[in-house]
Amino acid sequence: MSRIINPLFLSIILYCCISSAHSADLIMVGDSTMQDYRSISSFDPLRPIYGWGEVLPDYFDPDKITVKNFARSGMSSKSFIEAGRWDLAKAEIDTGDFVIIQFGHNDQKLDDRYTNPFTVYTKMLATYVEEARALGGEPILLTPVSRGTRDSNGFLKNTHVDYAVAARIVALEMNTVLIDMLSLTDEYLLDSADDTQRINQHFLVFAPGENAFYPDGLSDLSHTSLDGATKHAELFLQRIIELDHAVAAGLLP
Amino acid sequence: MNMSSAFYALLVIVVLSGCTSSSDNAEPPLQPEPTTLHYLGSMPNLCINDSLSAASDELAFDFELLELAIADKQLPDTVSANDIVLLDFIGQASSMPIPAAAVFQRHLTQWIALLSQHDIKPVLVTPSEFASAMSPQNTLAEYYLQIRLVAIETGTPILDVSLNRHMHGDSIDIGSNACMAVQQESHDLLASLML
Repeated sequence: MSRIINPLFLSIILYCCISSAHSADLIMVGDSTMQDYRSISSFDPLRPIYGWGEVLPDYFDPDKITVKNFARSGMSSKSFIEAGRWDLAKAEIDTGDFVIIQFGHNDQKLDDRYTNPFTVYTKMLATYVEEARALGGEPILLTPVSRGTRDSNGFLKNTHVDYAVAARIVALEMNTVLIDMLSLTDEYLLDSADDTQRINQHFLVFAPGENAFYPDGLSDLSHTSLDGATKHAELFLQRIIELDHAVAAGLLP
Repeated sequence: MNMSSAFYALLVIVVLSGCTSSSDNAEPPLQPEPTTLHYLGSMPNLCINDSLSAASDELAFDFELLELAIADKQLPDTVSANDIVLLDFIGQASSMPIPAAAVFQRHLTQWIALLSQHDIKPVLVTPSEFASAMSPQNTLAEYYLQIRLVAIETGTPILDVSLNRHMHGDSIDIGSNACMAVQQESHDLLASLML
């Protein structure tokens, strides 16, 4: 009898252990502002660019949340699907997982990637939401992060605000959680006594000779440094905590 | 008559009386109300016109075009309960004035309330002339947004001509992919409203 019971008992215990140890996946789909550059084999580790999805895993207990970052440089909401990356991401979505969706920077490029913010872009976002839900995932829509370009009054230029408005409409229509990263990052960037210094540290702004990778200097006000990527991750998580969202349960103490 | 014969006789009586009483109580078959499809506001472009005509033929609707301004909130005499009214105040070749977007949305909401009060089913139509999909100059974007927001706020369905135009290559000419998509969407939407 004991020969029968012991393996059965052990199986039950093992099953319970495996079940309780299963962590939810946090699946990220987006563009270069979110990308994990160090996961690309050809990437030069000296290049000072970071996407915020690259630093995000540092904040989570790996037993509770596993970050899977599918974001890719140059992708719009439309080209991400056309390139097959959404299919790759979908293959990882399971019941109880979370799916972070953030596009916009490349949707406004006037080439094959372009999506009109209010029609095709909203349709694309709705597609991500519907398909994530159909697989048991919970979508979280994000508006695109800020660029650091200013207008003549010193404010940040409204370079892609239409996409943020459009994402808010989709969130309303589809009853989806939305985190307005554009407003959060806009506020953060200008909320400093020396906002020029803050912007320069946040993005990839180097004087000639300041950075070995860009010896001639650089002024890239779309992509982020480690500081900028870290701040984006923190702004996202701060809002997740404020919303008392289930993702917050996976954060390290 | 033995016991089993009596039982069967009783059973026959019960069954027959059940049939009789159920046929006596049966309601006369419901005659579906004649449903008319009204296109209110601006004149539709050829694609929408063709699509709605085809859908109304297939689904046995009468189809009526009524040109009037958005601020003219008088229900035309021809519109009655159970009808479907498509609201499009930014169609092509409109001689009617179009107010600023913020006022436009208020009028739309009032139109929907008026129609709903009379058990008329409203449908919002997005502009067929929304600027080219590849152009960042979205001249009708403010109006498009207002229509989407009114749809959310009032739970009104949309015939999204703008989206179909942008999704399927921008041209809305008869025979274009966008026009065929509008035709399909018109049919599906109207069929769902008949349920």
